[in-house]
Amino acid sequence: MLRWSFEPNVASIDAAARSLSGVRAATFDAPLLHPGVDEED
Amino acid sequence: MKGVYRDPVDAVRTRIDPPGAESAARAARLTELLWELLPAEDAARLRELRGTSEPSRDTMHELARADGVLEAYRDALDQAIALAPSLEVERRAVPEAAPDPRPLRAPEPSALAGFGEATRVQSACDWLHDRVRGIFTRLDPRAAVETLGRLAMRVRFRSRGAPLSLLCEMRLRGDVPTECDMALATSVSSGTPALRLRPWTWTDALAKSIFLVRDVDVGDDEFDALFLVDAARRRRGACSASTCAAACARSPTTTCRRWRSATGWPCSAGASSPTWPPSTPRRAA
Repeated sequence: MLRWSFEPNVASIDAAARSLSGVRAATFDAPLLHPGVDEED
Repeated sequence: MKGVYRDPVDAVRTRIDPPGAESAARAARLTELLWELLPAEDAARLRELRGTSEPSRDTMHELARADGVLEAYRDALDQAIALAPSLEVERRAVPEAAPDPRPLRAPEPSALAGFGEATRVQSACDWLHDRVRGIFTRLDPRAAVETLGRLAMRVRFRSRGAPLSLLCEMRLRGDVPTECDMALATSVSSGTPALRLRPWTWTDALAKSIFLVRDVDVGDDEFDALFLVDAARRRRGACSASTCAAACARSPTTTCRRWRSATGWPCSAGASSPTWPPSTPRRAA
């Protein structure tokens, strides 16, 4: 959640929305499995 | 003819070596993250089987116990490995609905406000409501605007495919309206790590160059240049899947004053934080 205080305007809300949607779409790679012996080759 | 003697301990040890190696190879595939995500009962059973299957190599009793559980341990490891794809899908799923930011204060002004102040408050509230509705006729005409009270309103809208929930609250100093507090939230997947938003420093740039910090670029050049989105892996259960990174910034003409984590995300504050949206874009080193 992004919380700030100022006079609301289109540009600021749109910029905040753009940034949050970017964070939402970001992927964070953290594998659940290490590769097996066969997969390493 | 020579008599052949074989140490029974050695015989059992020889017998359990191949399945032991197979189990070890499977166990090595499990990451720490998978251990955290496994159902608690499965993880407990795996730990128990692992303890029993890795005996001291010297006693017949322990070797015999290991011999008895190695097959079960290998099967449990196979089950855990088979579970990984569905856990991966689950942790990448992004909830469609955005969580609503929690209001900071009551949505109605105090009943004790004097007549003159009440008029000013009403005027400011009318301005806020008109302003927000006007903004969203341009940003998202299909936005759902909800009036929570004279001092607060909520807007659920979409931007670039993301569901967002905006809370606008008029702040009073005494009975006098001063500023609007705005909070914006979206949903993220349960696999999203805890995100800590902080201003870039030269040490961050150095640390990033040697992979000591993981920065997330959100695609907004000005934002990315000003802030480091530090993605530490979240502890299990630290925050719900439906919340997103928290930051509390002041107006564009002042500096970030504090970070607010209404949802339990890590907070960090710095009086020297940059403003955002920035008046003069700066680039990271």
